[in-house]
Parts: sequence; structure tokens; C-alpha cells
Amino acid sequence: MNIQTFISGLTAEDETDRSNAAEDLGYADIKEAVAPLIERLSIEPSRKVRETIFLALERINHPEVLARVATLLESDDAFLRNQAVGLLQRKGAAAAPVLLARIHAADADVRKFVLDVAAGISSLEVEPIFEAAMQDQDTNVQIAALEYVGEQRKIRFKSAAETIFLKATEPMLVCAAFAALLQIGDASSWQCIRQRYPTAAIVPNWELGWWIRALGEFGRADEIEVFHELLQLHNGKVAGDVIDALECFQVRHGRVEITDTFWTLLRELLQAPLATEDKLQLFRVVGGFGAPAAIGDYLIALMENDDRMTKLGAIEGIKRLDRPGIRAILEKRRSLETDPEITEALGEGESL
Amino acid sequence: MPKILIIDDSSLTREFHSHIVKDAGFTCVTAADGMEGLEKATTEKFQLILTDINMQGMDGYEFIRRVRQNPDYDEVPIIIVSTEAKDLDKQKGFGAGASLYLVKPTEAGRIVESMKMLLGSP
Amino acid sequence: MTLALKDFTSIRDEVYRKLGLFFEDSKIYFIQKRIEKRMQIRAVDSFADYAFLLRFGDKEGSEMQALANLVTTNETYMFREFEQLQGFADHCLPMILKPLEAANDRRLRIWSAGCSSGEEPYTLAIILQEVMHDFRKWDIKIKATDIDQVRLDMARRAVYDERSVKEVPAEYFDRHITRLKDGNFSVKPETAKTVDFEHVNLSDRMAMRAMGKFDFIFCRNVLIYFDDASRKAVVDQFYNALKPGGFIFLGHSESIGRISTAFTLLRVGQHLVYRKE
Repeated sequence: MNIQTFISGLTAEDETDRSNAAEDLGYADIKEAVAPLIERLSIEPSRKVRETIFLALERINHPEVLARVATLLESDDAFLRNQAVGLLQRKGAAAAPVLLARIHAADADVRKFVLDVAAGISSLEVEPIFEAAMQDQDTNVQIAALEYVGEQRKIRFKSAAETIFLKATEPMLVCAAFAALLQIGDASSWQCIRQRYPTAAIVPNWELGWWIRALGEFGRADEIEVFHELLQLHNGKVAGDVIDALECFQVRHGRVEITDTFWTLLRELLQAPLATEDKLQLFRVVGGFGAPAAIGDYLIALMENDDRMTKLGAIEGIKRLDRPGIRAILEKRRSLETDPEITEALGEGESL
Repeated sequence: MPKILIIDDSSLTREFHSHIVKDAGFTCVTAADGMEGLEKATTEKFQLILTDINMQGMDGYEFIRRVRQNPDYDEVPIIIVSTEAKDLDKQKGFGAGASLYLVKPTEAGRIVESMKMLLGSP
Repeated sequence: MTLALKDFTSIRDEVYRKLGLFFEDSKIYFIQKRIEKRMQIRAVDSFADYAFLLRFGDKEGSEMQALANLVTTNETYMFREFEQLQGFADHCLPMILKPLEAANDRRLRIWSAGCSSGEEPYTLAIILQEVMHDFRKWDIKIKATDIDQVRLDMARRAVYDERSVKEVPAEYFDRHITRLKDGNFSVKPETAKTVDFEHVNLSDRMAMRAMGKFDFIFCRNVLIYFDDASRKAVVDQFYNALKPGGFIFLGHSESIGRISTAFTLLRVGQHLVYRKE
């Protein structure tokens, strides 16, 4: 194996020849191959060959690769920076030292890249990077940190996220903390959220999605009417999110009772132009409420409806009702129906 | 109703910008990197594009360069939304073909104002 | 419970990241059923928890592969992914043939990589004969390669059961397929002779370099079974093996963007295709 041949190959006229030379250097897997590959990156005109160079660098198992590639995090060239992030991530825990060395880099962009790499490595060695990032002076680093600790369910950062949520004024930072709390928060986090937003009306529109989700995840049983308030304030706009959150709420609180006026609004929503999946889901949700009895009556009456989707939805809702004689009602209906999908839906008795 | 393409590798950022854009009365589609953004832009027509710069695979500059090669996107406004704040970064952005450069963290008012300015009043 | 769009997106994005497979929103029900199967086996309660497992609890990638096996079909048959083949025949092929014809250089080279038992390369042979009005004037070679010697032998025999030929368009059938006495079907020699079968391991870089240059490379539903690094290495080699302007076709829900950004995206009709500039 003549490494010099490969190195000279990096300057060949033909793109394929340069690509093959880079690939061969990668397979050589020796320290001496690293510098020529890195140096070629800054002058190589072909995007394809640059990609091949990174594949080659990844193949070389020598600390020199980590050291040299880490310097690319500071490059002015976006391609090099982003490829470097990817490569270091794939090197895993071995990359920890070069990352930790840059944990307090002067440039916030570099600190963010270090965090991005760490987020792709699941290893205890990179944990200090999350600690540092959660307290970083730069808002963008903090936002990214919150996103990552939330996604990765690092619950030890719950209090830090709550503190940021309560104090932040920068909208993106508030949202980042919000999103993180949805993943790592608990009942006390809900207290923080309510502290910042005592009523649904003052939640900024762009935060509503998270707020509604939080209501579903953490809301107390007696807060069911807040959903009502939300639908009144924003109607159709939030319907999808509210329906999802109600389903989540029911999983936690079981058969909750709603007011007649809330039921009236939901009944109107069932007749509104919603996406099919949302509508079916809403039918299931209304069947899961404890009261009023009018819900059950309404759903049962809908089985006579001409519209197929409405019928199917009503059946889904009826199956969730807590009412004696439901099985008999469905059986009776089954004998009158001919549509196979409807008879199948009526026949699924296991859920009763 | 103008349709907006939002490209960012952070799902939080995509969600944040989507909420803002939808609340302002637009519809939107999101993509997680430049290549996915390019595919979406090539499949359907957007009236405005918001793009990040630092993404795995194809970065924002490359996305802008390539999408500008599509005659359908010769004049479509493209707003870069990036953490990078240096003048050099901004120059690169405009050099690649961006219409506007916003530095993160962004907030609703600024984004909507920029979009409306670039799209022109209805 | 319903699979929330947010969790579907999370799972979908992770599958895209790790396997390069992309599922549209319309596939949500299909994917949900398969995810539920995996959740039962892994004793996971919620879709959000499954998404977390897939992203952060699957170091070896075994769960991802298990899910991949459920959401992809291994079956191979002629004219599989018909719309993509239509795009190839109606748009990409003319784009390649025209300049070659104008330069009086009537040579066409196609590579069917991971050809298995041969249905794909024979499909391409049929399409070329049907679509090219002056087929006989051209020097055409379809190179079909696979790592599995048993499948290659099957492919060379060119005998198939009903399942493999059921999608062959009626108007092409009798011209290219013979019904055999035992109920099977064989590809007519006149069509079959366009295809050369060869044993090639896509991970063998020297063998890959020796393949030569092609106008089209097909590698459909093969790369999903490779790990990330190998997949990139293979596509890297495919790029080298394409002539300038040549096209690469992966499976229609496989995305090349996650593997390499060196190719140029082009819209042809209703399809997106990738080529080497």
C-alpha cells in the first residue's frame, strides 16, 4: 500500500480518480492519511469528492481525526461545519475529549455545535456539555439545550427548565422551556405553567399548541372546563390540539363530567367540517365523558344517520359509554346494517 | 392563501415558526433539511421560504443556491433564519440568493412583518 | 389510543434518519398498525414512548430493523413500482437517448444493483424493447448484479411463477413471456439476452470500481438493509459509476437526500428523480 500514491491521487484531474484516492486513504486507516484529506477539503471544488473525503475520515480510527475535524467546527464554510458535526456524532464517546475542550469556547456558534454533536451521542462522558449549555449566556445555546434535554427525557433538568420558563421573556426561549416541560415535567411544572398563565386567554397564540398539550398532560380533573374556554376563545383553530389533549386527559382522569354548555359546543364541533381522523377521535372522546346523559342519547340517535362516517363515529363513541344495555343496542343495530365496515365496528364487543 | 415552506433541523423551531405563520393566516409545510426542502419546493409551489442555515446533509446556503436554479423560484422571497449573526454570514446569505436575513431567536412580530413586507399586501 | 401526528412524525423522522425511508402522512394508518405490533412485543405503552425507544434506546439498531422488516415488503415481481418505471420510460430514457442518438453514439448501459432473482432487469429489458422504436440499432447492456449466488442462478434460468409476472402489462406479455406447461412462465430468449448477470458484492469497493460507467443505475429497496456507513459508501460508488447526466433510482420511498447531496434533483412529469450533473 503506497500512501503517497493515494495522496497524489487527491489532486488528479478526474473527479472519480480523486474520489477513489480519498476512499483508499480512508481504508488505509492510518494517521498519515488524515492531514492530506483535511487539507484537500478547503480547495476541493467538487461537492461529491468533499463528501467522499468525510466518509474516508470517518473510516480512520485515530485520535488525529477527532482533533482535526473538531477544528472544522470553527470553519467559515457551512458544509465543513455541518459535516464535522455529523462525523463527530458518529464517532460517539471517543469524541468527548475534543468536545469538552470546547465547552467554553468564546464563540457561541461553536458552543452550539458542540452541543449539537453531544445531542447525537448517548454517553455519560458528554453530559457536562448539557449542564453547561443549560446555563449558557447565549439564548440560542439555551434553546437548543432545552430542546435536547426534553427530547432525551433528561429529567434532572426539570427544575432548571421550570426556572427558565418562569423568568424568560424571549418568546422562543419560553417555548423551548415549555416544550421541555412537556417531556420532563410533572405536576409541579403545571403549577409553574399556571403561574405564568393563570388563564387561557393570556397565552400568546404561538404558545397555544404547547399550552393545550400541557393541559392534557398535567391538568387536574377539575380543570376540564379550561378546554371549553379554549374552544370558545379560538374555536376551530385549536380543535385538533384540543381533541388530542382531551384524549390524554381522559386516560389520566377517566370518566370526567362536563357541563351542558360544554357538551353543546362539542356537539357543534362534531357537525363542523373537521378532518376525518379528528372527527372520529372526537366521537371517541365524547363517549368517554361521565355526563351529561344527553351525550349517550345523541350518539345512539346518530346510528340512524345517513352519513357513513357519522355512523362510524357514533359507534366509536357509543362503545365508550358507561351505560347499561349498550351491547344489546349495538347488537340490535347490527342486525339492521349491511355495510361490512359498519357491522364489523358494531361487532367489536371486546371493548365493552 | 400564500403557502410557506419552513426548513429547519430543529423540530421545536419548525413548530414555533409554523404556529406563527398559521396564526398570521398563511398555510405552511415544513422540512427538516435542505434536501427535503428542495424536494418539497420542487413538488409544490410556495410563495415564500423560511430557511435555517446549519443543517445536516444540505445546509441552507446550498438549498438557496439550488432552489434559485429552478425558474419557478427565481423571484420567490427567501428569508434566512439563523443563529449565525456575523456580517460574513449575512453576506453569504445574500450572495446565495436570500431576500432577508433574520437572526435567531426570532419572534412572531418580526417574522410576520418581514413576510408581509416581502409578499406585498393582499 | 390514536397515533398523534406529532408522534407519527417523530417515528417517521427517525426511520428517515436511520434508513433513508420516507412515509407520507397518508401512510399513518399503515404505519400505526405495524408500530402497535412492535409496541406489544417490546411492552411499550404509548406511541411517544415507542418514538423515544427508537430514537434513544436502540443503540444496536435492532428495533429499527425489526420495524423496517414490518413496513417494507421483501417480495419482488416484474414491473414493481410501476409509476417510477413510467417516469423512467417516458421522461428519463428519452433525455439520455436523444443526445446519444444525435452524437451517433448508440450505446446504452444500465445497472440493476441487487437484482435478486432477476425480475427487475428483465422488466427493464421489456421496457426498453417496447419503448425504443429503433431498439435493434442500439448496443444495449443491462448489467444485473447480486451477492446471492442462488438467486443469480434462478435469474439466469429466467423462469418465474405467476406472482412474479402478474403485473406485466397485458400488451407486453405475449411478446416477452412464454407460458410453460408446468404453469410457470419464462422470459423469451430474445428479451433475456439483453441482461448479463454477475456476482458482485456492493460493499467490495474494487469490484464496484471495475463495473464501468452507466446511464442508469437501479438499486431499489436494497440499501435499507445496509447500515448508514455502508449505504453511503455504496451510493458514493454509484455516483462514480454514473456517466455525467446519468440517473439513479432507489425505491420510491427511499430518499437519496439523507445519503448524499451530490446528486441533482429534477422533476419529470409527476416524479422527482436524481441524476449526476
